[in-house]
Amino acid sequence: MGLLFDRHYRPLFGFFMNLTRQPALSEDLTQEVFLRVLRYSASFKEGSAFRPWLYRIARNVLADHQSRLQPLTHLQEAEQVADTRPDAHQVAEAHADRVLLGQALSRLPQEKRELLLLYKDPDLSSQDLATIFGCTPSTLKVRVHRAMNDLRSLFFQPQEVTS
Amino acid sequence: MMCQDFQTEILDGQKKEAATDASKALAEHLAQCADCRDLQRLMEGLNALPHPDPPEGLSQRFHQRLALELAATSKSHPFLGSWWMPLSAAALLLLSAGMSLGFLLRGGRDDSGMARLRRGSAADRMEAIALVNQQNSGPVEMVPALLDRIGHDPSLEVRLSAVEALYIFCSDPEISPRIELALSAQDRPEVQLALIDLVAALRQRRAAEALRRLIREGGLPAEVRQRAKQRLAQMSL
Ligand SMILES: [Zn+2]
Repeated sequence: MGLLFDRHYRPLFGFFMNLTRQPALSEDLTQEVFLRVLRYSASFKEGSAFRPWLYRIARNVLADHQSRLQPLTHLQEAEQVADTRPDAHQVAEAHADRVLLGQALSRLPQEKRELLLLYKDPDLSSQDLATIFGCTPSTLKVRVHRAMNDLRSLFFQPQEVTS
Repeated sequence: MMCQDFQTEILDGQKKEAATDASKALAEHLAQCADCRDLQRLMEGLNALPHPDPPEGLSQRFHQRLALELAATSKSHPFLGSWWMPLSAAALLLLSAGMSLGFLLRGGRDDSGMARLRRGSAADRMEAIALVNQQNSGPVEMVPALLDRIGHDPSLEVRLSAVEALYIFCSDPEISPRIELALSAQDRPEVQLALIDLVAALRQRRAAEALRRLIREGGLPAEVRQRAKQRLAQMSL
């Protein structure tokens, strides 16, 4: 049984961490995804790729979690962003970039954040992503482009969106 | 070319299927266009985001939770009991090779639980598992289905996954001779190797069981008993 879990839990945990920044929550969500994989294994289509299916479940698990706990999650996120901001100027530029990028990402709407975090994953093809997000590959490209543009506005004018 | 085209090139460059070296035109454009440079910088930034390592013990905790979940399932459906767990485990192994459980079980009676097991919804599937269990199939039907895949499937990946799935049925006392038969009939060297590992694992398991019995029954000279314990500790199974 270990095989499937061992092969996929690290990237999945990283995905949740980059989205939520909460280790305990990310672990919980990761476990929940695999339990659902087991529960719904009959709905997996033979011969189709496993990873897109896994990440579709992952997005549902996160959405379910947030629909239960939305106000709290937002609050925690906002606090974390505020905490990291003062340090940004005191550290190396690369690190500052990363901090700012993290902040910009956390201010993107959830769906766009998920899209970009999965788009950067070299193990997921454009076709995989189209499957995960339920659209055609060309629509997906347009959506990635838009999300990148939004990210750019947040990244280069961070002060304008602080509220 | 316009900025739009270069930006498309930057975004496409992220995906494997388009991974050619960035064009010379793009490099020249980037040297003079701050807008596109920003996009490139952001894409690089996304790639450089840390991959947070999972906390120690996550995998262990998951398996504990899984065991609890499965125990709860068999409590509410007592008849699922003993083989729901191995079956689920087999389902997971097969999924990792891009197959469903039904794929391996093709050829079962069409109106049986097995048939519903390979197509239904989650609820259907639970019901099917109960049904199959009542018909007293379970591992009895799984093992031959797996052996059949090992012997005849055109895909190497499928054959190897089926060998892996067989580990789940290690405790079935009748499995050894069947695996040895499968080994002698096997024509793919990779599968032969995997089967040899499985045979070795089974032998080691049997040896460990024999040692455990010996120690439990007692009456051994202290030195012999000590050696038996030592050997047992060295065995991983
Ligand atoms: Zn440009």
